[in-house]
Amino acid sequence: MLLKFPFSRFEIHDRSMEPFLHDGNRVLTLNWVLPKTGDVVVFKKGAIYMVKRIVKLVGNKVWVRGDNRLSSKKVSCNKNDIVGKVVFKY
Amino acid sequence: MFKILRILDRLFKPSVAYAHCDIPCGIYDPHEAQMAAHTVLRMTNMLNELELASEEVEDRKKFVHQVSRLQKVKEEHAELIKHQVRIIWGDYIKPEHLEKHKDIHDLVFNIMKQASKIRQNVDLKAAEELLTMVQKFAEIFWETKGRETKKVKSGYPTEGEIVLPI
Repeated sequence: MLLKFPFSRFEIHDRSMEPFLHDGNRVLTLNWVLPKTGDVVVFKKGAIYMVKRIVKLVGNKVWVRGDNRLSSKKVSCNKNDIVGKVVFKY
Repeated sequence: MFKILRILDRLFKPSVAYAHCDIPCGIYDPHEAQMAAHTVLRMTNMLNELELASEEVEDRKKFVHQVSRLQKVKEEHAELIKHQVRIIWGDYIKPEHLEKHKDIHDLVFNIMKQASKIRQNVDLKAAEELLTMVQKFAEIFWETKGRETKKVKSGYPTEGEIVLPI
């Protein structure tokens, strides 16, 4: 965890995290944290970064979902794929 | 803090994190990307065909107005192509698909670049090449679902074809 840079900045695209995050919002993530259920996290999926909220943690597996329930399904990723927790929106 | 972050953003652009909508769940279709590619081609044709009626102010206003409208639609649909292709590539394409279609990443990269190029120029050849790339992407997509495809006449004013599963 400490090998990561402590903070990262991202620009949000698309709408599945509305109303918490909107298209065009920018966020600061804190990367030196252990994520927990309820945290909004940025994670790597293939070659892109995605942002969702953690709904369940089972061992190394993390289940995430967008807040916009009408337009999001639950997907999973590994804990190691998580870049950081969203701590500030600007 | 807000000001510091915004200044930092100007110096070092933040990465993009996608919070995309994925309705309907698990249902992907490259059809909209193909329609958008035909729209880009059509707008390019219309821009090339546009003529200034005269140097009179009213005619020049009409000309500029029409160019603006056509260009706006061309740009929006070029971005739509990128959006649709990115969603399928980022959400649907799996490692087993990459094993069989090793050129997917290059194809997607080229589509992104070509769609951006289209926005910057009125280039018929580039618009036709973009359509060909999107059609190839559609063929690969359907092949990953075990579906053969055929090209059919679109019925659009572009007189081009659409890739459909059979």
